[in-house]
Amino acid sequence: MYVLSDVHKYPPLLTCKNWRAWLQSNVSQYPEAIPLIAQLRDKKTYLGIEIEVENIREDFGDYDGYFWTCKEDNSLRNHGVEYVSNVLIGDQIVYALLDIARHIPASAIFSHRTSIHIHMNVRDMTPDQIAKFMLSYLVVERLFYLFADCNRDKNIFCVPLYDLTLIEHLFKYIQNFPNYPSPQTENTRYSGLNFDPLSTFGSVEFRQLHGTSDVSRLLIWINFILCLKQFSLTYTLDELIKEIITLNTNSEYKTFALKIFGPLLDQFPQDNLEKELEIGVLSVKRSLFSNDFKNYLEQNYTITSVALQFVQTHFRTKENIKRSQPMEPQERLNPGINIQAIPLADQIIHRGGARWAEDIQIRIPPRNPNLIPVDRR
Amino acid sequence: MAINFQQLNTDFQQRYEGSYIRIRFPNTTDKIVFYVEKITLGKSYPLLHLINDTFGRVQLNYDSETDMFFKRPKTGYFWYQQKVALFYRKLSLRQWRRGVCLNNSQITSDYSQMIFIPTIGLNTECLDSAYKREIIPFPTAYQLIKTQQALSVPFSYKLAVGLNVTEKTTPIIWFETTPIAEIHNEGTIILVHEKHFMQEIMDFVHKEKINVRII
Repeated sequence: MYVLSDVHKYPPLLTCKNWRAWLQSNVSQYPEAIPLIAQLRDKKTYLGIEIEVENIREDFGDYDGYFWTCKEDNSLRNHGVEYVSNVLIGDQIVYALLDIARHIPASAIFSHRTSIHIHMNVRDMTPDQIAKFMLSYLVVERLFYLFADCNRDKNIFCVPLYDLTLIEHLFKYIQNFPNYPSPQTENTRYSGLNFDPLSTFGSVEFRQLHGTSDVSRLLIWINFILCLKQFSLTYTLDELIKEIITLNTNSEYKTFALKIFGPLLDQFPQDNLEKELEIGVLSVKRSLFSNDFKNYLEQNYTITSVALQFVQTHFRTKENIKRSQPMEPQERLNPGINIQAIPLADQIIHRGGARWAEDIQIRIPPRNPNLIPVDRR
Repeated sequence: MAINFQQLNTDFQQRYEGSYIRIRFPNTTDKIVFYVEKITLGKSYPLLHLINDTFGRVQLNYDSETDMFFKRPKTGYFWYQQKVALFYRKLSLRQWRRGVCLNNSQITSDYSQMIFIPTIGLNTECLDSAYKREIIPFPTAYQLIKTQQALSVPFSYKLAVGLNVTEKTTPIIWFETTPIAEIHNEGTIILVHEKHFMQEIMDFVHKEKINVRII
């Protein structure tokens, strides 16, 4: 099985330069870093952090430190800016958080418009491992929102996957990356866990957390993400799916969450924990729709069926009769259109939904069998 | 700090102009869905220009005694015109608009991927049903389908039963707009095709104490 960087060309990672030298000359300024570094659950995963904040006046907005770059953000108000970190790994994560927390002025405001975005590098993961990561995340997605609080699940810039039809295409997209069309059935960039950067940066982006400079809270959040990654490397895909699908008692739900987060599970609100995980399991099932029965119905669809007879009698008007004919395959794949010339996103939106996406899949070349198998677990 | 009414009005206009909201007039209990045609700046608070098929055009000050409700309906099935089960879901698009509109809300029939059904879309009547969220007990729903009195009927917020689209007449069970099972043998057997959803069907049958065998 190949990892993403084997099959997709990504820009180089912008890591922190001269790290050893920086650490040597600055370590004494951050005595609080040592216990925090010990809490990190994974020191081999690259992360990128974006912190949005408002009320940063011009004289401060220029701050560009060793770890951070300050950027204008038009989605914010009242002198809002976004601090974007370099690509961080291990100890750098803690030092970068302590650094920005010191530099953000007390007058800064973390309004409801601000949020934290964490990019996690997945270039070194196989599509199957990312699929496992996604499925594990789906089970515990509600917990992430409960921790983030502040009605973040209602925010249109970090919509939960359980609220989106996207979930029904995402699994196939990830498992067959990069040979499956991107599931642009909705504006996927604004889902709580955003998979759009898979093809641009080789990362996934967590957008659920509200704006904050509280280092301990940020570190817990980062550890949740790292725990998920660690967990997704342990099972085979089939084992994981089987385990999730058969979760059906309260104790099993909690045991499953404990396997992912360990003692960190206590950091989530504990009320209705099982109920929240049950919603997550349903999301996993939705993402695993085989669609065999749906395909059977579509293939055996007939104009004399009871369903169509009902529609003709109760819904049809003269002007709609022509439009309500079943769509023929050749009509769906209009031969006059050069499919290759249309951006994939437009093709899917054009007809709306999975059916059109399925049609396109036929024209996508299969996985390259010559790729070198790599196991990075 | 003094309220900046100009800013308040601009925000409100961006969020709710061209969307649907619900209104409850003083001394009434029903919430009525209106389309927000335009928002202008009143004496201080925004002035809403609303339209509804029954009430016609209505102008309303934001600070009037009439209650306004801006929440979107909950995701799930509802029964529409006693003919078809429709599914409401939220969509995510980067935009200013918060009120219910085509950019952030979708109403679909479970059959809409196979059959074009006219009259279904985002309108006051459809949204009104979406807010009321009417669902039918399973035995009644099954009978309605068996006697072909409806195209589909929701029997929970996630499950609906509907007419078959093939030569067969066995009713189909839908889970959130995807077909997952068939009902056989005069409603005594549910044949689950999407096996992952066996547990959901079993839970429902157990909860509602329905006498049916699940395969």
